[in-house]
Amino acid sequence: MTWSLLRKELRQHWWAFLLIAAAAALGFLMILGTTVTQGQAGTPFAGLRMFVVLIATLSALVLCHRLVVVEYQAKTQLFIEALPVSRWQMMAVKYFLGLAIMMLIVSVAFGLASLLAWHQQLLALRFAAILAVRAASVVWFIYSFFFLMGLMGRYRLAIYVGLLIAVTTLAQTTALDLRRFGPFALMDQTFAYETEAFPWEALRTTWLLGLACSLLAFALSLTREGSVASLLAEKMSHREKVLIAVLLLGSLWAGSMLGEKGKKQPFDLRGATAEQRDGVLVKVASPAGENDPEARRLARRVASELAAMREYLGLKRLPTVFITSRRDLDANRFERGELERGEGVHVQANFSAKDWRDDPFLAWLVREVLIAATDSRVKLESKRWVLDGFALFWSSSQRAQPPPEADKALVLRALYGVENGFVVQDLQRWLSFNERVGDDIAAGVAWSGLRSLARHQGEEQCRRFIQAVLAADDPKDLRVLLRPATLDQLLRQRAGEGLQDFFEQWQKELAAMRPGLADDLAQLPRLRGQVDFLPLSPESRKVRFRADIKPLPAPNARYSFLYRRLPGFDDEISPKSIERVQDSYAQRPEDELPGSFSRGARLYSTFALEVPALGCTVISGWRRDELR
Amino acid sequence: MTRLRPLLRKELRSLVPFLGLVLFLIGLNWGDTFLTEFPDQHALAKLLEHDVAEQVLLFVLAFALAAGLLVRERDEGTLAFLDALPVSRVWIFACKVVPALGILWLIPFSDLALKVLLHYLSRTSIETSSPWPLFLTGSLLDAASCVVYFSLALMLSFLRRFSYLVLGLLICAYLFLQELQVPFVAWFNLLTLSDPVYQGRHWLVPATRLIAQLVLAAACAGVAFSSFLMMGDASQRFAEGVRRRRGAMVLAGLGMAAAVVVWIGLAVFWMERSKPDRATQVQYEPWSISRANTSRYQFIYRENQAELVSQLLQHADTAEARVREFLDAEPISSIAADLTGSAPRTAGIAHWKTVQMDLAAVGRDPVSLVAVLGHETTHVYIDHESRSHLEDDFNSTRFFHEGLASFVEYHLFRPASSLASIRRVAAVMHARQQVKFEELIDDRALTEKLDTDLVYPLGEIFVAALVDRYGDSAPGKVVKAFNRPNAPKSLTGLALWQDVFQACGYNLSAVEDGFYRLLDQAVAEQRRFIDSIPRLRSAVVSDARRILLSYSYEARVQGMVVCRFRPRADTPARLYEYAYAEQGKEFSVNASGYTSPSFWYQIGWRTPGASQPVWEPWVETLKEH
Repeated sequence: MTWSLLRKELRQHWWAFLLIAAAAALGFLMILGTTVTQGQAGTPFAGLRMFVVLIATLSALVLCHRLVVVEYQAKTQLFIEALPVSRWQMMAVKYFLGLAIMMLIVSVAFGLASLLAWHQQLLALRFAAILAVRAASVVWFIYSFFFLMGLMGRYRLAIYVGLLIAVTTLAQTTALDLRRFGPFALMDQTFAYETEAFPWEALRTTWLLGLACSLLAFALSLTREGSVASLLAEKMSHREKVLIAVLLLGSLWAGSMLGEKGKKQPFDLRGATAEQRDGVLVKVASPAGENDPEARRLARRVASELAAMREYLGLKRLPTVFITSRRDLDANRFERGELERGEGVHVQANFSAKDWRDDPFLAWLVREVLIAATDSRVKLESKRWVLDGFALFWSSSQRAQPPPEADKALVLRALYGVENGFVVQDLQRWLSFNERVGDDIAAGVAWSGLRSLARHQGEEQCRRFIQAVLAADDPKDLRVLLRPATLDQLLRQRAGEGLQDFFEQWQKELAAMRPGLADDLAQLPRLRGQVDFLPLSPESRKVRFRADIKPLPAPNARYSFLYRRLPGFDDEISPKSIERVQDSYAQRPEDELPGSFSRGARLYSTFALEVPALGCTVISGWRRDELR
Repeated sequence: MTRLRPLLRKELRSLVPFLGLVLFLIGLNWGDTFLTEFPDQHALAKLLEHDVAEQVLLFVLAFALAAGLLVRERDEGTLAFLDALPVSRVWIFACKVVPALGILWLIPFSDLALKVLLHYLSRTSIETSSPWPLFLTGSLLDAASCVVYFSLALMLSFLRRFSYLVLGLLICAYLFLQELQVPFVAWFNLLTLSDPVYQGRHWLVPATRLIAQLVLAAACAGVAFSSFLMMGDASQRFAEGVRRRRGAMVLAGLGMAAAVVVWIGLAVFWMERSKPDRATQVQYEPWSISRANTSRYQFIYRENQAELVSQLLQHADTAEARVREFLDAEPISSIAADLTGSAPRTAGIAHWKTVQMDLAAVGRDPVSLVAVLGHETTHVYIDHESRSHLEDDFNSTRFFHEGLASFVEYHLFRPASSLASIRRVAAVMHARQQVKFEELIDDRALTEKLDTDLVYPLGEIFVAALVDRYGDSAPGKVVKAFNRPNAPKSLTGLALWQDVFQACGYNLSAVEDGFYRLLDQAVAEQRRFIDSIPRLRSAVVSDARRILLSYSYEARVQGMVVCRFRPRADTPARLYEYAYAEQGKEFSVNASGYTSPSFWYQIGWRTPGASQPVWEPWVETLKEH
């Protein structure tokens, strides 16, 4: 009778078996061809691994669908059940026939791969046995799994999705590492190369899973004389569909919530000097070690400044600040590193340099800490001028007796920045103004605005306004759109005067200062320049630039041409992505960029010059050009 | 039209679950944006990012949607009811396909709406032109992709469950043809249609690729339409009849065998075609393979290299011991060493407990042989000691893998004087301000911008900085930290490195500081060499058949210009096309492999004083329209 059942299966599915075998053969040939052509793996068994993972899995899916799902959906198993044959025999014939076909397919692939490898590598018996056991175990598990799923009838799709969610959630929330678990571990990158050790643990897990799937499949098919499997094969009712959908969506939601919980230790700096104040923690790591007096002094200074700033702005706490030394940086250049959200602010600076000064660093750090503390909310364009100005405003206000020279440089920056026009709309269009005059000059202009506000409306009013802009507790969701506060409203509510009045007062103050500093202003260099795109071919261009600096601050002045390639849209540019060519103005006012550019590329560029009188860099204004 | 209404209602009713799923996914996307982010602070770069994962999701949805759309009527026996309606099969087909496609299009167009809204809320003053045409182009290309995915899936749906297998085969075939670098195969990369290529502020639509894919979609839809028209009892009877005939089995078997043979033939044909020189060549019988064992290695090699190998055998175990001691590693009982060849353009390559070396590429110098063996053995021990965890995020760890192996090679096996050859490359790149730590720990970014092989010199300096700061035992400790119990999973990039260093009690920043200090030192030491390396300038001319590249430079040192091309920024390095100067200062490649609106090229300088060519950055060039 078993033989009759076997003949029935073969007669019913011969073309499907043939198709699967042919598809598997084609698939293996192509995978093998890809592996050999790539030349990376060095062994055809890498192709065998890919074959088992992709083609054997799909073959098992199709095979089990033919053998189980089609039979139960068409209810043709009822005819067989009417025959004098036990139900388990019917299932066993199906199960072992399918398994034999799968094993045959994989054996042929294994044989072909071994034949190819025979003359190329050391193909010891043990190695072959390890390969064969690994491949066969995985194929047995995959086949048994799909056989079981075939019997799940109408619930199998839901079970596939549910299993995917469950396994993903488990992998994310527990110590389970899927890549090193059972069948996944057997098919890992060691598959084609492990010549000595049988991966017993992974094999045991795979065998257990395979056995469990097989036993479950048989149990399901035999329970209540096979009526459970028959019932499962029927179509899902509407209620069932809704229930399954809700359960899946619920588990997906729960999975994503659980998946959020990371297990990473919070970032910390080893061997760093730590300084704590109320709501502020600063750690400074020095190459000289934990007891470096310079690091200790810097930690104290930064912690004190930040604590005072926290109190001034009314913030509950500030992110931890980690400062590390990078000795190749110029003393006036600082770098912020990446840290995962909420872990703090990580910065690099050359604080052991001879010409190191705390004030520029603190002005820069205050800005970065505020950005981190507010999740970058203060970078919103309408808030930006206050952020840029506040860094300088805060560091200058913290000096017990501000040195007149330092304030003079800031006033000069402000006067220099507005001399080519500055209107009230520029406060809303701060990024454009910033590109016109440069970061440092724009910050000087913004500083003068805050100083003017403090002077005329009082320190407390000014503080309330700054608090409202920089320390607003904006919710990080769409509710933030429901409370749009314009600059004018904020100024009226917190500082007691409207935007127009404030701006006019500010400009009057600047105008009043201009005559006293006219001589200094006249000596400041004004940068202009020309950028040309010269064709090298119909598709290629080179970039030539010519600087024009008047008056020249020093005969040996060196200017920079700053540039970077742009994408097809206009976005804010990260300063770290900008490249630089530096030349002596006296010797090379004109130069070319190295390399070639494509027609249609876009270039972001400006000329820049360090001006000691201002204590910062001035620019000719950023341009965004298309190379035509 | 009134006759179609009930049919349309019936189709829409059956599409409700999918509509629900699509709306759920759209809701998830909108919810994630509006409930967890500031909706008025979205950078344009983020809004215009091309995400392959989104394309895969679209493909899966299209496949699932099309799977039962047409064939379900036949499988569930409802086709006869539809045939009884006073509408033709053509209208039935249209009533099924159009709403289904409409549901699929909800995804790109809702995405367009979301982007437009976010941009409206987030726009800044530096935008001088509206990016809406860019959003629209991207969404229209996504919509075109939906048509392609859906048509392909509709055609395959008639194969029922076999469609999965056929889809698997199609993927294998694509990968195979891509490896063979068959011309125009890239036209059929379905997931990259909406990859942005910009000319100025305009998104260049990949016209030829779009047409090719739409033609493919039309063909697939045509097959699906014809199959739907023929679907029914008559065709079923015909199929059953064919299946029952005896000769059918033979014919089917022969057909299958023919398909396999045709594919083998195609593969051989393309392999032959892909050989650079198809002129008649003298063929030599390959030398036989010989084997040799030492305490730690099992070697295989070609018999003609026996003498060279015998020199290597003498030092092999000592080399292994030095590597093992340096990494403080547990011994591996046996390492397979295949000396018959390595991957293209490599002297050696390592896998799990296995090394491969190309003796011809290494040369006959015994010191180099042992050094390369030491290099590859280091890789083996890194994998063994970390239980391959170092490769979990290979994008951020490759520089360390190669850097540590290079450090071992140059510090333990080569004479001290040869260190300069690898440091020179790093020095030149640093002097040109091209070295950024964040790019070093992002291999894809480094490869797309500069050179995938820069991980050797830069990684060596990083490991040297690590050893300088924390001593000789530090690299081994770092390697083992990847395999420590309870190590957090799924960390990538800088977060991964910070965590690993923290676990070792080290500061990553301190090593980064040392890394840049060593680079500065290398620049100071190699100043003359750096000044002698010319900056290269290139000019491209392309037409439908050839891409020609001419170059110019001011030569100050002995060396030669090298050049390579790639069709896309993310093309794997093994598929780069290396060009050779045919006439004077001109490189040339066939344009048929470059099907995008743009292509990439890179020129570099090869000099005997440096361990590898010094490349200029990659340049993307638009093809002339």
